[in-house]
Amino acid sequence: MTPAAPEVSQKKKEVTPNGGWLRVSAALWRRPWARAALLLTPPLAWFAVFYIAPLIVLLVTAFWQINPFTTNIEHVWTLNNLSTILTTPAYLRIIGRTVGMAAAVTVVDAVVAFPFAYYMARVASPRTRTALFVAILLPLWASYLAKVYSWLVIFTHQGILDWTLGKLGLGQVHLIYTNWAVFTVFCYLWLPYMIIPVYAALERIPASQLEASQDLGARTWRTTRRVLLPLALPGIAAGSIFTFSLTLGDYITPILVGGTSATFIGNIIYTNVGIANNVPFAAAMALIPIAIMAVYLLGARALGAFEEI
Amino acid sequence: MEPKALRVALRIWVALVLAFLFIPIVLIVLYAFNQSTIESWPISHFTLHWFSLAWHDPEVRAAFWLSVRVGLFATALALLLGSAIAYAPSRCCWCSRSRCRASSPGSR
Repeated sequence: MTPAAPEVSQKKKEVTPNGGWLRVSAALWRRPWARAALLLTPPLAWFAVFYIAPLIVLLVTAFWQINPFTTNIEHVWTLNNLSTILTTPAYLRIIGRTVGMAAAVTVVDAVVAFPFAYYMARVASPRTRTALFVAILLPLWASYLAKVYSWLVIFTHQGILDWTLGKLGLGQVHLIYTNWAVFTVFCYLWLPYMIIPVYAALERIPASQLEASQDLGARTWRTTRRVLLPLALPGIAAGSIFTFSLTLGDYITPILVGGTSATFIGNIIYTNVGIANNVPFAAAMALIPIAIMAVYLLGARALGAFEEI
Repeated sequence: MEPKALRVALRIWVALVLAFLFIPIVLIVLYAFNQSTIESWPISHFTLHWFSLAWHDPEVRAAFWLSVRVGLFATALALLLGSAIAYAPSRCCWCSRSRCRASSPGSR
């Protein structure tokens, strides 16, 4: 009996973990909710801790203030930060400038993206379509800073833009450190985010609907305006969420290519977190784009943007 | 089908947009070889000097490895959490089969 004992115990050892795993997997198979909980708990916990919690902290901080002498945060409830922002003309101008910039970038990107997306979806051969798709994704993989710096090089005095215009005999424009430079760089940076959803919307319009419109006598322009544009509108709205919100939140491009008047909401937040060390005020300022985006998203949902994504 | 003129116009538009997207990227590559520290165009002399400077700079090396490590870590984490949250609804735990089919990207 004695020599057999180790063998038995070894066998037991081999079976137990295997059986344990089987039992666990069987239990999970029998209970779909347990499976779902096991899969969803880690990502949702991450989401709660790293997305939701900081947002709540931000919201709360916006209603605190700093001691002007020690610059320590005082946990006293106050609406001072928000009322300062909403009653100071300079801040209102900055908010207006930021929203205007975001709107202008969105409109121009939509106008630039639409014919491009149309060509991709309806004219190009499948091979060209794939190539164009890769071509608009490639710039997204290039570094943000490298792209902004390349525009700095283009716009700078004696840069390539001045050189090209000089060769064409058009004089010089000196766009560097102006809001035009900021505008161009934003249009450049976010253009792919507009093309992709517009392409997705155009691609799923059945050809028969366009043919029906033309059979009924509508010319190209009328078909575009009355059939194509309404059907593509959810895609344009989806793309505009990206271009609008990304412009609203950016502060690096204005720092690099913008001039003295290129102060946007993001720059105010940045200087208040860093130089002025007034985090409650920065938090209150950060609530402004959140509020604007909330309104914007409601509008975009009404246009059907979320059915596209 | 689109009229011929429209197709030509569309083709020109696509070419212009592609130029807009890629000229800055090509330029930044060219400027990496620029001998002068002044950003004027055209570039008069080309050099590999900046590459050797960056290669031998311990701070650049440290920054590069830190970027690689952070990138790999973030990718691994996003892969784990993202796969879990994408896998759960696709394995139909709570939604009915018809709803799952309607919301899956493959179907129209």
